[in-house]
Amino acid sequence: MGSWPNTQCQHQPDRLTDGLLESSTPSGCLIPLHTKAEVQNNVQIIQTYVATIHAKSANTVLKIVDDACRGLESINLNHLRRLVKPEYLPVYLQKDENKEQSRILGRIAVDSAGSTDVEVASPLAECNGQPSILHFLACATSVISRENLQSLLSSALPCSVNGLRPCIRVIKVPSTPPASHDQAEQFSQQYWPTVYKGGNPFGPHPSIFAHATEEIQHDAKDHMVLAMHAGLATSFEAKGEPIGAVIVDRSCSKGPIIVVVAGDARWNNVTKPQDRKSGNVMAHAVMRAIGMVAKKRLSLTNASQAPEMNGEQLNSFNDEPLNPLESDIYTRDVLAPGGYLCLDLELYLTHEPCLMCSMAILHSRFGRVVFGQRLPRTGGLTANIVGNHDSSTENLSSRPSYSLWWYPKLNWKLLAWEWVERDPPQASLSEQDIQA
Amino acid sequence: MDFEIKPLDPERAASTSHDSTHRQHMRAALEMAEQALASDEVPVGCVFVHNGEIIGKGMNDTNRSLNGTRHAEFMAINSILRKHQPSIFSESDLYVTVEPCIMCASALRQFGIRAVYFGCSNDRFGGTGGVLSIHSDTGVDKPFPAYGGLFREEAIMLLRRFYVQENEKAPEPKSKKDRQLKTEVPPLP
Repeated sequence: MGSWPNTQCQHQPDRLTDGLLESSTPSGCLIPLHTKAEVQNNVQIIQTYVATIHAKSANTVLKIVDDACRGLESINLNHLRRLVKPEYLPVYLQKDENKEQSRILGRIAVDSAGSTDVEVASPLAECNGQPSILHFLACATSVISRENLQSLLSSALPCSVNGLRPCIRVIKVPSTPPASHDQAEQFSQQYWPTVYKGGNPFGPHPSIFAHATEEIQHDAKDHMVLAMHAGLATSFEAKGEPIGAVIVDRSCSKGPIIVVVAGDARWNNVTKPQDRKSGNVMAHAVMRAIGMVAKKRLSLTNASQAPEMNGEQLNSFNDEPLNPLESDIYTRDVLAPGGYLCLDLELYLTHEPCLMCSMAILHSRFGRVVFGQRLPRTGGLTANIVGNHDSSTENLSSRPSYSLWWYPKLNWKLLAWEWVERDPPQASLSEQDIQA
Repeated sequence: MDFEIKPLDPERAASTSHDSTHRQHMRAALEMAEQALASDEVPVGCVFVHNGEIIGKGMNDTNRSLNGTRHAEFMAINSILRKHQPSIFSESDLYVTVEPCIMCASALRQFGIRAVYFGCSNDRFGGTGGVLSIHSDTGVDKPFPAYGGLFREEAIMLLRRFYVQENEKAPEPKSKKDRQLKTEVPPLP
């Protein structure tokens, strides 16, 4: 292919991408990536106390226990219902519930320690034979001891005068909030009535993702096609692999503006070794594109002139245009002055970026990234490996998944999508060890 | 100054401790970090060593270049690739005052670096144990050993000297007049 549009159509980005679209028009869709935590969905389970209390004393008990726990180890139970009517208990607890009813009605019960107590008739049972009781999720067992809780409850419960010790059980609950309505339902059946509050503890809020997807889906294809051509352009001249990047600024009200395009240039000024190892790693398409944005910003601060192009000086960063397609975009004065790194910019890539490029994306404060082909052996963005039984990934089953776009410990997070084409190309890099 | 290398890989301890050439190279890296500090850059410096000889030096250049990826390692690699092919890194060692970040650790591994010696850990972005272990994780490129703790206190003090300064470029510079330069460095856990 290698047929980028003629350079006469400068300053008309629409015609530029239109020209590319004529040559090949893959169609596809944007799939939001999952974070590592979403994929693993590793629910943290803790032990909590549940006490059976009189409905009338519920508010008092809740306040006393919460006051006592305040300032101690904080475990957020906001996603769990604190007071639950017997009929809403999960089935496994309702079985215990029957024993509990018996105990309250003055029969012999076996407590959790295995000892047998004979209790006197409880005032809880006096309300028309319909004991008005609630199950109270008190706190995590790590916060206070059972004895302390017992005395707190006794101080609040009207029944304590009759010598009835409130029954305290220990149950397991998820300490992590549910990520969806479905998961809340599952928690409610498996552990304890749980509320989904709409957020996502493991990644970006679904509505943020939905809004952003809506914003970019109309032109994502155009940028993906341009990225493909950027990769073809450098590989056509044997300067790199067919991997390309496009950086887009959507902050302008007129619509998305292409800021830079860059193809991979790892073989530029490098003797290609027989084993085709890594070449000049710094010349990956992402690194080059980031470098070009920086140079454009630098030219804005120094003087109001197009960024200088000094192709003669050997620059291993390769952060200057290498072909007409790249220089056509590079010389456009489209960035507003005063911008910071790649903050709020969007990045479109033909391939999932390697770990180096993924972290460079974070260092550069990108807001969004879209990539085409997954690279399960080298990529730094996806969290799960597609096709676990694929022979290409078999020997890398122990490779960690990084999902750097949303990594809790790192100080920058962005949104990331996979662009899935309806008719994927025959030639595929995904089964190779290539780092994009 | 009392120091010792804290090897991340105990097996290599015997071969790396009390080696004066390591100290010599790390001093050169610290000089680069001093230069970075003098240029209002985050003071991180590094040198690449091939056959006992420094083949490239680098210091952080992110502020001047407006490029958040211009870390000391990349600056040094850029200068080395002007004269050498990328294959030279498989016979070279890196001395860097602060643990390489995730980006640099991946770059170094893809370049096939032989070994990395660093001063202090980087618990925000570290790629050789600080946050991730890019140097040793399962992956397609050959892993490399990373050893931390060489002139650790000096590396930390450089960073502290930088962060007590006021950042005039910040939209609303924080007044740091009341900030005092702490000199105590807690020991490694």
